[in-house]
Amino acid sequence: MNTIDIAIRILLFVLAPAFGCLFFGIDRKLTARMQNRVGPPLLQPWYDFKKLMGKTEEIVNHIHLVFAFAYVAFIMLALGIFLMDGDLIVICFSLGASQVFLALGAFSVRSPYSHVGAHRHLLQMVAVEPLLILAAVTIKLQTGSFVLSDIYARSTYPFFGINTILLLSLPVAFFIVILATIVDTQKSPFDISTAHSEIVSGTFVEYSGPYLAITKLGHWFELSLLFAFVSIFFSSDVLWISIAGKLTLDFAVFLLILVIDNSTARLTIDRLVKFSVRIGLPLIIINIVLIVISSMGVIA
Amino acid sequence: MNGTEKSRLKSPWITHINTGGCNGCDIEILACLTPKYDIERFGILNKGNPKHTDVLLVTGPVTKKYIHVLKNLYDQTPGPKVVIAVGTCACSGGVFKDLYNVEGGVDQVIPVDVYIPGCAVKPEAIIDGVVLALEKLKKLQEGTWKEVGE
Ligand code: SF4
Repeated sequence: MNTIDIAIRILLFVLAPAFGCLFFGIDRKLTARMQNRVGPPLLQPWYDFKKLMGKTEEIVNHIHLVFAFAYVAFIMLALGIFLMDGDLIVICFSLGASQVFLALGAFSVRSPYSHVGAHRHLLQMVAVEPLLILAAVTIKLQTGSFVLSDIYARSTYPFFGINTILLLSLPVAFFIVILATIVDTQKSPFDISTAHSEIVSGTFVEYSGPYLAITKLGHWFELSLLFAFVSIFFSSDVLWISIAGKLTLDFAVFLLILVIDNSTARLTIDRLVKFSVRIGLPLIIINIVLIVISSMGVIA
Repeated sequence: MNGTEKSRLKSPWITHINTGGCNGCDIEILACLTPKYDIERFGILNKGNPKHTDVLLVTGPVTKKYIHVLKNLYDQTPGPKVVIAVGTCACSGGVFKDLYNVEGGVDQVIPVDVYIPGCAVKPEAIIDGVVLALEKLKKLQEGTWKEVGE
């Protein structure tokens, strides 16, 4: 890694929340257009953020805030590891740790809405985290490594005799990552732990002013991380094809999430857990078995 | 005006509180969120949570039982905040004025910035009211606001 390389990575890290902010701006605008409304300006999340930063501080207790900062710190750590081409498993676990801190923060106050949100958040983690880690395992089986730089180098691994990108060889893992993205961005039908108009905003209910803004910042980082995760599934030796492919893939997933968000209603938390156990888990295990069999040379 | 002050005008999040009205005004507030009126184009979101709120839309006369609840909600809202009395009841007590269980208009309990009369109020009037409240906030920030009679 030379200096320019590192500079680009740092730049990407700094720009990550901007991507997240823009995502939510486009999201709100497109959602409004799909509902035949005009919708807010594109930079609305940024205005919200600045307004929240300027509000008076109302603190419930200090532990609550410590957990909020820990949530953001672990998300930033995960993104940092990702951008330095680190280990996929470490990324998954530090994403998981950040979610645990969010839930702990929500448990540290007395609001029942916050507690319901935290319970749901933990259950949602139980449903999605194992799938995400298994998805990382399939990537490892396919490319022989958990480390991203190796994954990029070897993602033209032959599958059933075809030289192809990860997306084509691991459709199930890709599906799982999209599922995780929907769940973590709190989009319908899996916007369960923040469930607006049901438990107000669940985990975030007691954060206010600047501290709510901090959790929003964390959320923007989280979003960038998830889209970075999606982009693993396409890489090529030629730089511009690689970048164009990654961006196209991200954009396609973004549109897919928006359409799903606008055309479905919220499910209950046990439906999410059942969905992950009955559909997600078997699918990904089948995928793992297939990879193992094909690598033993039985099929291919 | 600095960036924060500008953003304040562009992102007023609302919570609506019914202090004992007939629910007519509440229906009209919800009508504002529909595609026809689309208040989200002003950056307005219905939060339903005082801790995330900038603008409190209060409907209905304040009943005696509701006084401490309203005060509590007002105190939980972090500043700067704006209170809008929506509907005749909220402005003065309306048809419920002088009932044995009614304290009166919202301004008997918490300070009100903008009054929107009407029974029930029109969604257009609510949007006008919120925009008026934002103008007041803008003038307050610029220091050019004058109370009536000043
Ligand atoms: S102003 Fe009229 S419509 Fe509104 S709450 Fe009072 S009685 Fe109902």
